[in-house]
Amino acid sequence: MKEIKLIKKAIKGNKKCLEELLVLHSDQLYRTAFLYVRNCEDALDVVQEASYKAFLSINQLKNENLFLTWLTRILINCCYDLLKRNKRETPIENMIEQVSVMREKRVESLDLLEAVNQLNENYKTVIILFYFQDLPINKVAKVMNIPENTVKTYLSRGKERLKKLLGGMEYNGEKII
Amino acid sequence: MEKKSFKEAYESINVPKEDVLKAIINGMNRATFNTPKPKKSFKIYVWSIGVAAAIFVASSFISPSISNVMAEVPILGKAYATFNDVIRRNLQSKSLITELNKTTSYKGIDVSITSAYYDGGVVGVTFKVKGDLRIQKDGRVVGFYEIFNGKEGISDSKELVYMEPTENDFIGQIQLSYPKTELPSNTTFPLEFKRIGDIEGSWRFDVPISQLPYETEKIDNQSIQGIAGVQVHFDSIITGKASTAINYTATFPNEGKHDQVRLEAYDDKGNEIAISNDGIDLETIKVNDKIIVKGRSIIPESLKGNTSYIEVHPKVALSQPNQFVSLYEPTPVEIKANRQNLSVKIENITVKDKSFTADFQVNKGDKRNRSFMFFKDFARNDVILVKESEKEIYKEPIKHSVETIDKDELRFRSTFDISELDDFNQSKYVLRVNIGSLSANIPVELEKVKINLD
Repeated sequence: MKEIKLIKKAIKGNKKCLEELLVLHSDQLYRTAFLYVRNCEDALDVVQEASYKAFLSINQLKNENLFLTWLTRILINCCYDLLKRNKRETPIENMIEQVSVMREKRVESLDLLEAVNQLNENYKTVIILFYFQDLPINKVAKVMNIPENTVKTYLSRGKERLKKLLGGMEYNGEKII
Repeated sequence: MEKKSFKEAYESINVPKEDVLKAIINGMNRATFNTPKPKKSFKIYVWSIGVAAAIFVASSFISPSISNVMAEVPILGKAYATFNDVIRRNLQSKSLITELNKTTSYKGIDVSITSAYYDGGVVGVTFKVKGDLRIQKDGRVVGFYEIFNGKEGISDSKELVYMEPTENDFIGQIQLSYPKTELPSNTTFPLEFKRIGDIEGSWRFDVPISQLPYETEKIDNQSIQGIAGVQVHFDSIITGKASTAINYTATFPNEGKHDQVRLEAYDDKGNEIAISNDGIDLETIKVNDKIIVKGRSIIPESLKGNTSYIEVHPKVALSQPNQFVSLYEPTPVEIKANRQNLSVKIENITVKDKSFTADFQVNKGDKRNRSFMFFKDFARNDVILVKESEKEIYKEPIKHSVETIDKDELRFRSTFDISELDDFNQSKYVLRVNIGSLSANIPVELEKVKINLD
């Protein structure tokens, strides 16, 4: 319940409370960003940008129960902004690394995180939210602003796609999908 | 169970806690005080589309499958110089190409030799092909030929050649270095096409060539590298109409019979002179415990009058045998190249139920002006867990991933998936370190040698 109190105070404009909330969820913010952008520097950039936007717009949050959903949506948008920006201008040394990473992907089997990263935007987001962030289907639907049934469809197609990417490989010895 | 694995993968992402907190506070401060976003460190940005292709080409030269070949021949200069035959163009402008018209027909395909030149140590031939040919998607026809009956020991004696379409037929060209120490003035050389398009057959020629006037200048310069036990003696220089050949004699210790000479040349203004065919082995003999190789390198231009001397920087790429580390050996273990200061230090070995991990450092972190990617490729391809009984056999490596632990110090971690090996056992497996792939790409440098041309 303490979190709900913090959220209420944050919505009313208490910056310390919002800071505390962000810190509380900082691991999740960073890890999710990392899943999208695949490197530490950019993931930190995304966390900063998402925090900035959270502070600017927290007063618009209507329902305190949707805090995490709201924050996650901001974060994912920031990830896509950064990915789009990087597509336009890519530092030359990164490109060399990317080419090499592409090659490595051919050489060895993909690990789970790499595979998730190769999914298209919608599948990737449902997989990240449902499996990694443990959000229930209805919350995933809220973050993505799509009907629950569509979430289910994306989930099953995303899993199908993942299976193909991983070639039925086992992860840590356990069948995962 | 499903979710658990995802969760584990998610939690395996390391969180740099302090940096994340800093990022949150920075975000908060920006919103509160309306301060601008701190700039990232300056980087050169490029527009991606065109450059991506270029870099892909460039980096494919260090790709794993090619890196072994790279070790054997310096492909790059050669490929481009052959494709764009500067010598021919140059001779053509001086009308020094002999026109020929010799045709051989087989299975409805006519192959005609149309011209030839023989300048210094270089021979060039053009030919055309007519008939019902299988054309590739790019509009060209590919053929396969042999020179000197495909004799082993002659470089490029069996090669593929691509023919370009013209109005009625396809034309192609071949350039080769005359593969003998002595250069006869009038001779023929055997050339046989064995496949044109998808048709196997035999289109055979004895191509007459007569050497254009040339000058030979004896030289007597020597360069030695003591630790590696190699020496290169420059014997003579042949100045043709449109090419220059440098003849040398290299001496290697017995273990270095596959060592390879690579030359770099500079003119009197310090500009690099392109060498199109480097390290052509003409003759190899064994005297006592030394290997003596007569070799030649070709510069595709006549240097007389353009520069008063050439400064040659000889390098020798040493051949090094594979080295092996027993999995029982206490770490750290240092693997050193025999005749050169190159090393791989295995710092730690961990064997778990389903994985084998080796932590190692390459070359004590000394990059020797090579790119990081070169070492990353080395880490991926040349430090490999192999079965002791098959340790010299090259086959697909056991599934593994390579992690960079310290980019500046060239520290890597390779994790091999041993869960699918039914016979894994520390006594049956060893770690193979292919130090030869470092030495082939980091040649030892010999003292520079100045060759006067006047």
